[in-house]
Amino acid sequence: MARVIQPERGLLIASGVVLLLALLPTRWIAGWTADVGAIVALPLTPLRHAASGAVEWVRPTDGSGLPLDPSSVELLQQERDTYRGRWHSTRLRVEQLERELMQLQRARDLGLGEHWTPRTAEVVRHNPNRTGGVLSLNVGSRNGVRGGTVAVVDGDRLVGYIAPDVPKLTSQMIPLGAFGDAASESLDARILEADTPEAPMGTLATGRPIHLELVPKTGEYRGVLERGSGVRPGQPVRLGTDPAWNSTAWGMLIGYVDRVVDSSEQPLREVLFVRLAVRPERLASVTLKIVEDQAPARAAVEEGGEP
Amino acid sequence: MRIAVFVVFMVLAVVLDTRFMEALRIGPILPSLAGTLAVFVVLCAPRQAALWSCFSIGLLLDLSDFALYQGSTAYCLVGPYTLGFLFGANLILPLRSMVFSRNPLTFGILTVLFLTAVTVVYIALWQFRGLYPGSPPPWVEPTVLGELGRRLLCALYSGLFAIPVGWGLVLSRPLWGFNPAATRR
Repeated sequence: MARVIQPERGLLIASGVVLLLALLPTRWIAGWTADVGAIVALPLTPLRHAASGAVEWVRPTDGSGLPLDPSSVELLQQERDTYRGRWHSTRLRVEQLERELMQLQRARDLGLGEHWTPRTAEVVRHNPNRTGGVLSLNVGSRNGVRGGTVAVVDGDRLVGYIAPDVPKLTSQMIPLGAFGDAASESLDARILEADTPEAPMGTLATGRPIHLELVPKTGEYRGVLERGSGVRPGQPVRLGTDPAWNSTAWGMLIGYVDRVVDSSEQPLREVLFVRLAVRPERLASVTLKIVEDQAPARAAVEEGGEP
Repeated sequence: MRIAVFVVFMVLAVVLDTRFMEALRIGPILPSLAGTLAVFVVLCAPRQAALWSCFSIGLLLDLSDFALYQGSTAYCLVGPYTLGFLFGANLILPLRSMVFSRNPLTFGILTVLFLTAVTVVYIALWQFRGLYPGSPPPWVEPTVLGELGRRLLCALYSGLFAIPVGWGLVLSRPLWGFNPAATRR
């Protein structure tokens, strides 16, 4: 009986199929061919295992002489866990140092030509009872911190200033917008069109000046402008040359325009509200701008006098 | 040719090639038994049986060789060894009437020739597939020429190894049930 497929033709067809498979895009053959290979390998596995054992016997690898009794294995696992823990700890420390370095670098890059030294301070205690409360920092007068020293994050976001009477090892930071703080009750600020890398340098000369007043219990500032000023929500607001603040704070970012509404009391005016850029209750660390021979500007304000 | 005997020898050869030959490694150079077995079958079996046998050995080797797609998905590429063994068999078939098939030295020389042919197809196919995204060739050496050189050295080592193995295969010849007249066709 004649065969349906001649052996020669069968081999030719099989070779053609194999050639086609060999040239197919990898994504089409990935996965299922490995399953086929695994199925084919099933009956060979015991033999392969025996062959691998024979290799170990004929030509042991360098690590085969290690003692592998249970106590040694346990010891090795403990060492592995210890070193893994140290590695994670070191990695976290490196990440923290990188963050600090970035903050310091950014603070220095955005400096206003002042001679000041950036210093990272950890927030060791938040005021648990109210938003905008005093924060305790882990640096004090021994580190050069004085009353009025300015605190920022991300280089140019104004957080607050250090309260007078700084202890040697700790200090208290009064955040911007703190309820009851005389310096935060009103600010001389500038509204910029947009933030640019050189914004702090240019803030003092450019931007629309505005006088901001703290809205009690909201953490917002409000200011009044003539109607049709063109100010839009989202525009950055930076501190101007406010004499109540140390000059290292001038040009730092206060927040962003949140909304602009018509004034109900003054028909030719409109009122804008500024949302603060930083929420102090969420901070873990700040950058202090420590100035040598810093004038105690805050102390003068606290006492009701001009700085 | 008794297929059952061939299957046993093929499985043994592939298992030893993929696992045991590690014991005979000289640097990155490994010998191959599958090539010697293929040469033995080509020298002794009828043409069609020899070609199908080489096809089977190559297919089994391909399905034992896993590569990674995009660094994570495993796959077996069917073709490099299968087509390489077919190409090698077609190279050896015209020579079998000119050599002493019972001489172990014949196995040594023909195995080098056979594995060189396999290497050419294997490298050409993988090099072509290297153009596809996410599937780099599985070279041991950093360059294709380095890999070609390594595989040629493997072929030489296999040829050396094929002399005693070929002698053993010649001794096992009664088991295979070859028809002596068939190889003269």
